[in-house]
Formats: sequence, structure tokens, C-alpha cells
Amino acid sequence: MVQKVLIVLSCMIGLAIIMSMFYYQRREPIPLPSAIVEQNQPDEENATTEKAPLVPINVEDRIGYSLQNDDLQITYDDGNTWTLVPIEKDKLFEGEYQGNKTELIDNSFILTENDTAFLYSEGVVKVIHSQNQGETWDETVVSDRVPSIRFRKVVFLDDQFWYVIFSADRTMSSEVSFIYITTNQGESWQSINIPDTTRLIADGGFVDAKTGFMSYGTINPQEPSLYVTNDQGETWEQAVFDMPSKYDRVFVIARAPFKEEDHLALIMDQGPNGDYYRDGLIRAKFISTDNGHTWEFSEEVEPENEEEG
Amino acid sequence: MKKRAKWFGGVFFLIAVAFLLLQVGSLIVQSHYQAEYIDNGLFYIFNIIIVISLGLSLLSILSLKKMGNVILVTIASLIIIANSYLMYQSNQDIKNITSISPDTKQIFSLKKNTNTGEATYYRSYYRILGRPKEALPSPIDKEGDLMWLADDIAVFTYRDKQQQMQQFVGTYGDRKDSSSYSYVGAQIYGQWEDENTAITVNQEGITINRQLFEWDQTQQYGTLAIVLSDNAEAKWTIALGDDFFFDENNAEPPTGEIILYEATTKDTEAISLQYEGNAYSMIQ
Repeated sequence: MVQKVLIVLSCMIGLAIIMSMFYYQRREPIPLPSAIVEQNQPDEENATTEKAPLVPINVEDRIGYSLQNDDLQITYDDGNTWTLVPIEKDKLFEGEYQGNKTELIDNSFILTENDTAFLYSEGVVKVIHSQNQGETWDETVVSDRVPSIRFRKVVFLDDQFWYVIFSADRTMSSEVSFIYITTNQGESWQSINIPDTTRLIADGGFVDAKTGFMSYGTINPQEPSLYVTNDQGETWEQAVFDMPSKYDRVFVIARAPFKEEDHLALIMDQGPNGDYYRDGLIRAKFISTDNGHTWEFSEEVEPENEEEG
Repeated sequence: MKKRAKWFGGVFFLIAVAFLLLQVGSLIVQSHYQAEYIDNGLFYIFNIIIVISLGLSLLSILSLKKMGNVILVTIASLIIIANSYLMYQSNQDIKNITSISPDTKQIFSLKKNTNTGEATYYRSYYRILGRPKEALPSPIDKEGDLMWLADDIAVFTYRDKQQQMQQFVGTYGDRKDSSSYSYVGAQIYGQWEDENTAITVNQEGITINRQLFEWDQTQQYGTLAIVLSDNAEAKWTIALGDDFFFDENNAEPPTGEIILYEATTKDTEAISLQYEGNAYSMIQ
């Protein structure tokens, strides 16, 4: 009895092997993951955007820009009329930029009712600005170095004080950062001192003509690294954070501070690998009452109620 | 004697069934998850193991007449020969280059189309299965050595159709607990030496025995190794040794060794280098 069962089982196994051999010989090779992605991406996109009407990317209510058709155009009436900005699109993305060039780099432009400005690079770093919604443009040279710029930011704090922060020549995890300021609407830009570090800059900014900040550490930081000056860059000092221990190594990258009521405030991010605490979405708000030198934790900030400076 | 034979027979039968389940299970997983055996030969080897075990089991348990034994052995032999032939054939079309890491935890696998020389790098899953990860940058003309520089870094050296040396590095995992990307070049800033070799890593690039490789001549693999090329030809691979440690967030110099491995068809040894000091050149 056992023998018969054994023989039947053995025959089935033998058959299974022979069948599997046929199956195995006829199998299809597996495509590479990249090949699969290509298959799933029909080139519809090119076909539809070719002559599509311009769709504004809104910055403020009714004010927006478009990078469609390889031009930079701005609108002040929600896309009814457009003004062409006389810069080649690629110059806005010159340097170290990884993206698809469908949106401008954050902070590399100003687009408000009164001021329009774009920071770009064509061998030299330039700002083009207009104070009449694009009727006339002024082009100014910020820096005549020929760097490959990475971080870039332009801000008009008021009619008098404008600044540009950029970083260049990144080699792995170090780079040089630069701050340029002007008090005559870009007629002349002047370089000011930066903190003594070559770490990668994360953000920077001024709250008034004297008080400025530079925040560092975009590769794997463990704690915030924020420098403050109260004399327009003559001297820099590292700001001190009173970090509640439960947020230690959680909130690690400070954004540029801003003025709020009678004190300064800033938002702090969790950093590139900030998935420790509630999926990395929560940010922290810190407050300083001594012009940016020491910072106290204020509250957690949900992504949607974030306050920007 | 008889009892012992039955016992052996039972064990062999269980082995046969176990491998059959493994084989069938693998084939089902493969068809569902776009995977295949990490080495195509495994399929045939498993079949051969099943047939041999089953044959031995039947010979031990069944008391067949002479004729029966002959038939059994003949059938088993035919299946084994068929599998051996198919295995040989399959390796003629797709050549498998497979190697197990020194700590036996990782498997490096390449499958090369012998007609075109194009090769695909496979990631292994559960030791025996693999999924295609990426194609080698250029087709292979002649294979060189496959060398494990660390338990999680394997370097495959080959000559491409343009007769240029190339190196392809398989790296397995990220040694740090974080999931962030880290740059090998940034971690090895400084001066590295052994008796005959000196490496300087600074802002300009990596200098090996006075030959400078600028940063754009380097290509990083995973987070553990970089290949240095000159005129599109690989010259060296630099890998982080098993004991290498560097914390990007403090100023302490790295500890442990880095490993230098030349891209050549000649027999060559990997060279371990120690940290000798700072070579940081400030810009500005």
C-alpha cells in the first residue's frame, strides 16, 4: 500500500519537474525597472502642452507667472494679459539645480503688486527688476564671480534695503556662501562678511538692515546651526537654541527668522531625514526676544497653519 | 539492514519533496513579483537534486525487480541529462556571474547576454531570488575579476567593447541607521596612505599617486564606493572598509580604512589605506 502511494507520488513529482522545465524554458525575460517606467510614460505631456494657453502659477491673488513655451511671463490679472520678462528661461536655473524647470526656484524671485524681480545667472549673478509691473526693467550685476550657484535667494526688505544670498562651488558637503546687499535699488551691490563655515547653507535672511541670519546644514544635520549678526555682517555669532529634550535631533534646520509683534520668530524643519516625528510634517516655532541670539521653543506648527516671514 | 534502508529512503523522499516545494514556491513567487532565480542555473540544480533524492528514495524503499531498477535509473538519468544540457545551454545565451559575499549574507549577480555583451545587475532577495536592478553602463567584451572589498561591497572589473576598462560596484545597504544619502567623497576628505600609495582627497578631487581625478571624473555607487575614471575609462575604485566610520556632524577625523582597488585585467590586490591627516584646502 505504502509502496503504491510512493510510486504514484513519485510519478507526479517527475511529471511536475518535466512540466516545470517546459515552463521555465518559455519564460519571458524580466524588463529592467527603468524600462517599465518608460513604458508607463506615454509622451502625452509633450503633445498637450505644446500650444496650450498659458496657465498662471499664482504667487498672490491674481498675480502669477508662467514658464510655458520656454519663456518667463508674468501676469497681474489672473492670466488675461501677460508680460514677457526679458530673460532666457534657462538662466533662471543656471548652476546646481535638479528639477523639471516648470516652476521657479523658491525665493529666487519677487512677484508682488509693487516689485518684480528675478535672480539669475549668466556667468555673473544678476537681478532684473521692475517697479511698474514689467513695463520697464532694470538689470543689475550682483556679483561678477563666475560660480555654479546652488542656494539662491533675493529679498527686497523695503525700498532701501535689498539683499541677495547665494552659495556656490559646492564640493560634496561644503561650499562658499555669499551675501550681497544694496541700499540704492541695485545700482551697486556690496558683499558683506559671512559666518566662518563652509557647510551647506539651508536658508538666510535679514529682519532689518542690521540684523541678519544664516542657517546651515542640509546634509544630515543633528542640530540647528544658525548664525546671527546685529551689525550687517561685521561680526557673526552662533545663535543658541533652548531645545526641549524631546525635540533633540528632531528639529534640526532653522529657516530664516522673521519679525512678529515685539519679537523675532522662526520655523524649524526636521531636515532631509526628518521622519522621526509625525512623518516629518510637523515643524517647530521658536521665539527670540534678544534680537536673535537665544531662541525659546514656542509651539509645534501643523503644515497648513504655517506662518511665513 | 532493511529497516535502515527504509529510513534512508524516507529521508531522501523528504528532501525531494522539500526541494520540490522550494522550486514550485519560487516559480510562483517569480511570476507574481517579477523576479527570477538569482542564478539561472539554480532551477536545473534543484531539479537534479529532486530527481536524485527521489531515485535514491525509491531504490531504498521499493523492493523492485532488476528490470524495475533499470527503468527507474534510466528515467532519472534522462531527466538529469536533460537538465544538465539545458543548464549548459542557458548559460550559453545568458551567462550568470554570481558571487557570495565573504560573510555569506549578500549575493552579487550579473546576467550577461552573450551575444550582445549587455549585462544586467540583479538585486537578491531571500538568497535564491533576484530582480533586475540596472543595466551595466556599457556592454562587456571581456570579464575581469569580481572582488569583494568588504562584506557589502563587490567590484566587477571588465573591458567594454571600446576596449576600455570599466568597474561596476554592487553595494548592499547603507551602514548608517539613517536612510539619507551620504557622499563617499565628503566622508574621506584628507590624506590616506599605506607603504606605497598615497591618496589625497580635497576640494579639487581625489589624487592617487599624483594623478588627480576631479570630482566630475568620479561616480558614486550606493553610499559606499566611488569609481574614478579618466577619459571614460575606469582607473580605480575606492570603497569604505568594513571598519570605516565618519560622523559628518562633528570635526573628528574618520576612523578605519578605505580600500583602493585598481581597474586592471592583471592580478591585483586591494590596498587598505589609513587616515594620515587633514588635507582640507579652504577656498577663499
